[in-house]
Amino acid sequence: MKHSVFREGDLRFEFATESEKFDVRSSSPHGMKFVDFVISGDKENYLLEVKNPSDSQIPSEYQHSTREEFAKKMLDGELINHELVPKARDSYCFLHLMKRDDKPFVFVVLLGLSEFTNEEALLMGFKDGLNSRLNNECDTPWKRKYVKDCIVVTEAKWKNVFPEHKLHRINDETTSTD
Amino acid sequence: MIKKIKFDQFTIFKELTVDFFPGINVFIGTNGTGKTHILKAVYAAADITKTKKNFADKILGVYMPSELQLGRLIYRKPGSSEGAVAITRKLNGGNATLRMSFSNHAKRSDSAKIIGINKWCSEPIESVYIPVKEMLANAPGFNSMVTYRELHFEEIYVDIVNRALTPLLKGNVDGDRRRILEILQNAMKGKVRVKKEEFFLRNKQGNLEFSLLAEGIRKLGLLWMLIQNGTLLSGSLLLWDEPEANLNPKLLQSIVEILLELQRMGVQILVATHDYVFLKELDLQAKATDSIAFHSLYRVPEQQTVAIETTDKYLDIHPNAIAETFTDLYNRDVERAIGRK
Repeated sequence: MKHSVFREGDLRFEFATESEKFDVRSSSPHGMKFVDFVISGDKENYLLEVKNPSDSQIPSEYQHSTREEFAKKMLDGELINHELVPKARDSYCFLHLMKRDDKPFVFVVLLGLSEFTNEEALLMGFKDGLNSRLNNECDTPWKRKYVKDCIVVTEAKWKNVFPEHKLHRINDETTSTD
Repeated sequence: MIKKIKFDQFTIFKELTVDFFPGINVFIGTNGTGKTHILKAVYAAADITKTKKNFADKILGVYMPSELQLGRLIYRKPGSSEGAVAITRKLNGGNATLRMSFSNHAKRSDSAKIIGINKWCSEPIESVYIPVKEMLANAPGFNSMVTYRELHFEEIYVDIVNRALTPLLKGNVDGDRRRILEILQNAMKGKVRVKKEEFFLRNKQGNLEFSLLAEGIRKLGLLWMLIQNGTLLSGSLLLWDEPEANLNPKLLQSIVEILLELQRMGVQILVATHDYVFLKELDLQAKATDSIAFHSLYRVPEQQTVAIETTDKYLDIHPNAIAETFTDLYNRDVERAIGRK
């Protein structure tokens, strides 16, 4: 099967199944935010959002401030509450209205921060916070669960979780391999 | 400072050597890898420097083998065998090693051969062992009962109550101790008072007896007493078995802060833990100048023994039984999420 190849900053994905760059559209409903990719799977479809503050394509004079800003968003809840969850929710809404919700969705967040911990306990803590917000964004939890589950992966973990979908970090000199 | 301990055919150890750091020594490992056994052996050796008790008797008192038969502490295998425990400490002007050996047939403490006791005891070590079970709430009358009745209580429980009840040291509380006491007072929101062997937390609401306090707060209260009465000073030895037991993880931040301050003050600390939060708090709060060792104990099934790996780097702890549990949880969570079972 032909792989679909996409770039997200300095990350290159080769998806082995049908996939789509979801946040770049010729037209989008006003106010809706979308995840980066939708990838089809056997039993479920994946809504993939990539957060890549270690992107080497960011000009060097902005790299420090980009990472600082990312850290701040993680710490004050903005990353989950104002970015990740709204994108998951709106993406689901769009796909549901387009009758493309034949399979359950799993929300996948790829954290491309090179120094970010690979300590599973902390990744799980972040995942639990994300999952909680996916289920409840106001004073009452959603009556309908619109994503089956969510997972948080780092670059190092990607190949174990999605061995069929290749991920490379590209810099100016070389192409890295996994 | 305790430098080293070596076990030969002692309890679950066929042969094990532990090299201690002068600061905080953290022991991790699954249940049954001997963390508590190491702490007890070191404590027994340190305690006799003050009490001048027979080392074999103290070992029996902290381990409490059945019918107090010393030979039951030898590594279990068929036939006759000999075992030993040897501990080395730093003294002014050199080192001293205390060694005790005995056979699996030894019934009483006088069957043990003890070498190096005089030099070992020439400089007293102020030591305190905090057991898993908090004891101060049970303090009133406890020691009297143990003195006069045959109770099956390891001496670590009796000793900790005595340490907490030790009268105050003469003179002012120095800056280091005062700073640590303030941290504890903020965490407990009060100070500890003792009246007729009963412990109270005194705050704006009055005196609250320890039996009505959360066990986590009682632990902080115990630390407060040990620092206030001068048991924990520069040169002391603190051994703490599972500080996280009955403690809300949030309080571990204060516990680790206090342990680091004690270490900077010159207290050598041995801690056995199962807790990820405790380890992570150490990683987050430690400074480059702090002395911290992580000792990972693990079973070697083919040799039927326990081995040890020591590192001073949190991320290099290996094997890491605590992290492995989270890895397993993470992997199972991912498998469930993406339907791969």
